[in-house]
Amino acid sequence: MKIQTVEIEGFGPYKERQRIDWPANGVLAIHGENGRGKTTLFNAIRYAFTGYVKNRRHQNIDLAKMVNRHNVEEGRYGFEVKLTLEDDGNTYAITRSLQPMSESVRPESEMDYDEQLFVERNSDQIPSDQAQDAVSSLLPESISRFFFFDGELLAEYERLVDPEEKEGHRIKKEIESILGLPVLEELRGHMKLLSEKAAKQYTRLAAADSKTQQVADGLRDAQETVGRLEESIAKREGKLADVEAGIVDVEERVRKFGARGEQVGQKRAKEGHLKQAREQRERTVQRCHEILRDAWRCKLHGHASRRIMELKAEVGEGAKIGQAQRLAQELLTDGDLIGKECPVCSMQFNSATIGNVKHLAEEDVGDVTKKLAEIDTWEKMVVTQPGLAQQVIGDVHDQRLQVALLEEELKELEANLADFSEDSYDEANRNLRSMYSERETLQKAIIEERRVLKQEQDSMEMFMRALKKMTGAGAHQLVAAEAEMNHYKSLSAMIQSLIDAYRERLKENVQQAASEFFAEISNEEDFAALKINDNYGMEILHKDGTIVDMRSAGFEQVVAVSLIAALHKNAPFQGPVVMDTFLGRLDKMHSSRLLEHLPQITAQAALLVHSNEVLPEELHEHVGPALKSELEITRQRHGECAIVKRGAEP
Amino acid sequence: MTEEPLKTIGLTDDAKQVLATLMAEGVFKEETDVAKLAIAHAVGVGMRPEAATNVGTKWAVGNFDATGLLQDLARTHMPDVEPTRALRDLVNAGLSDLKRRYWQDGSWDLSAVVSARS
Repeated sequence: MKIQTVEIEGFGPYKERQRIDWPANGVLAIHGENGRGKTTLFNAIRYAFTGYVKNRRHQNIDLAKMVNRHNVEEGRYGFEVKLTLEDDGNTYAITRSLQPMSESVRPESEMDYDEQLFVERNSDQIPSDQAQDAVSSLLPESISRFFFFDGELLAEYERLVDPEEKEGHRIKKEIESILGLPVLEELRGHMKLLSEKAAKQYTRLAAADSKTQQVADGLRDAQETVGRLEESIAKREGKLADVEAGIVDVEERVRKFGARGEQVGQKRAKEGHLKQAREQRERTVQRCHEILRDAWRCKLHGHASRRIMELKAEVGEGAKIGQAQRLAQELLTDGDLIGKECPVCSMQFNSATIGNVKHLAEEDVGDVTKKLAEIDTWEKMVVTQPGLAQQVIGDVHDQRLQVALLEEELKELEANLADFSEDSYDEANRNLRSMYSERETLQKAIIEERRVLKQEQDSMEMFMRALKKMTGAGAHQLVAAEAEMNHYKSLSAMIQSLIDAYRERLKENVQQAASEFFAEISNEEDFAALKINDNYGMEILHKDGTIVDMRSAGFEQVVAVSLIAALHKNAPFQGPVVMDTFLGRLDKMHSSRLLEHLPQITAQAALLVHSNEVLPEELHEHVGPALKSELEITRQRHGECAIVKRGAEP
Repeated sequence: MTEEPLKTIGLTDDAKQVLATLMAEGVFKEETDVAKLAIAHAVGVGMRPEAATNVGTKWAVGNFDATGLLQDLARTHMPDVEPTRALRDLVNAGLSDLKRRYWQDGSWDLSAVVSARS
């Protein structure tokens, strides 16, 4: 397939109709500085084939956003992209456009527009219900990634190196699509159907004979069960593939939430920490309230302790007599002492000893008693943990600070997420969890059904062996039917071997071609080869036999382009390649070598470049005579650009 | 001590304000906890204040010092003044001194306020 012309009108900055005449062979370079509309042009061409427009992160963009803003201001809505191309001797014109659904309603989103697709083959209009199929047959969406790519898309190939990478399986399928494997897969499916049909015929014949009828009935039952199980497994596997594809999409969506998604997680964790910190702070404040009831004692503790020491020193030896006097005074306040026991000597008081007590109570011992009373008072003030109040105040302070810090951090996260839809993020994660669960259920069911299927297949074999030993009236018919059945079986097995061998050969060819391309571009002395894995992931093999672990971003890109070059070389399908700003990760040496080898990838290539990637003179030097045409995207005014011949007046 | 015993302890407007700012810190549960702390502070730093004037009524002494421990403290520290009056004077002087020492740039050094070291 070769593109002949591209026409765009009203799409992005291309307000007025723009036309690009595509050289039949070689390289078309389209220069444009950042923001001019290179990616929009890239998207417009891809849109004509696929009907979608993607942003740099490969998310679909609402098509209404692609309508030229000046047109919208003038009340003109919609856009049109028209491609003419040649394929296998036929000429096609593909026109895909977006038109407002109603003249009376101002369109706001894609929902307010109708998309129309017109396809002509050799000037004959293809019916509208077949138009998309016709476009898909020219460039199936599943392989469009190998014809339209930018730096970001190339980066996806890095994932193929990881055999556990789910996305890898999807890309692998797409790679095998471009290499033509599905045709063989389809053939194998067809053979299997024929083999099953023959097996049923065999069983029918056996059932018609009274001698073999009973065994044939058993065989038929087993065949039916096998058929049902195979159908059910195929259905579940189809469903599983859908779920896995869905998981890849949703994982991608979740991944694309990127730092924002991580911030949601951080915010939730922070909210949890804050809640805990607030609860802890409240508990500490309550504890503080209780402890500070005795704060006055803590405050007084030092003073009280000093006073007790001072007073005790002042009282000195007089303390004993003072204490005795205080005891005597206390005894006397208890009333008549006659007959009572002395708390010191345990003797019973009599009038003489009571006289002694009274004397002692009234004796002048200076201010000793008063000081002892004061010591009593101060001793009631002291506490066992005088630092406790200060400590709990410190705890409250620390926890308040902790809460304030968390509040501040949370506020910052909330501000960062102000324009972020957490609902979408939550929904994506919910979907993902539900899909994981569905995948697990399906996988378990498939394993179980395979187990039963194996049993039933063994039963079938057993019935077949039994039938072989029996001879009935229709023995010769049975032999013929068995031969037919075995014929298809062996054909089916042969095709499977063919597929396996073809796949292996393709991989070897792809590995070989990619290695050669990589060697030419990279010019690494120590490079031995690129080694392909089951997913078509490419690892760089060093001369000493080791795998290069840490590959630079630039090297990743060279590996990815090498894979694409190898796929194009081995694919039955040939088409134009459109590359958008994909030299950015490469240094001068690698980008110049890549440009030199660009014509090897495909017969028709378009490069969308800006001057920081490659200067026009460098492009001339490196692409050489293969550079057939150069265009430039020029700015007419803000929001409006035009595509002109490079060097021509706009 | 010939004075008639006081039944209540009151605060000056300034002392009320100091009390309010300390309460606003949220670490004390009751105003009496702060008032007792102020008394302890005043005693600890050896204040023997003059009689406070222009005080209203804030707390009944029976509730303020149900165990009589603070009145004992007052008797010990200011034996010549009727204990409730002594407590009144100590709380007002204590609050004022706490502010003078530990209130700076609109905030309290709470750790110092409750510190056992006077």
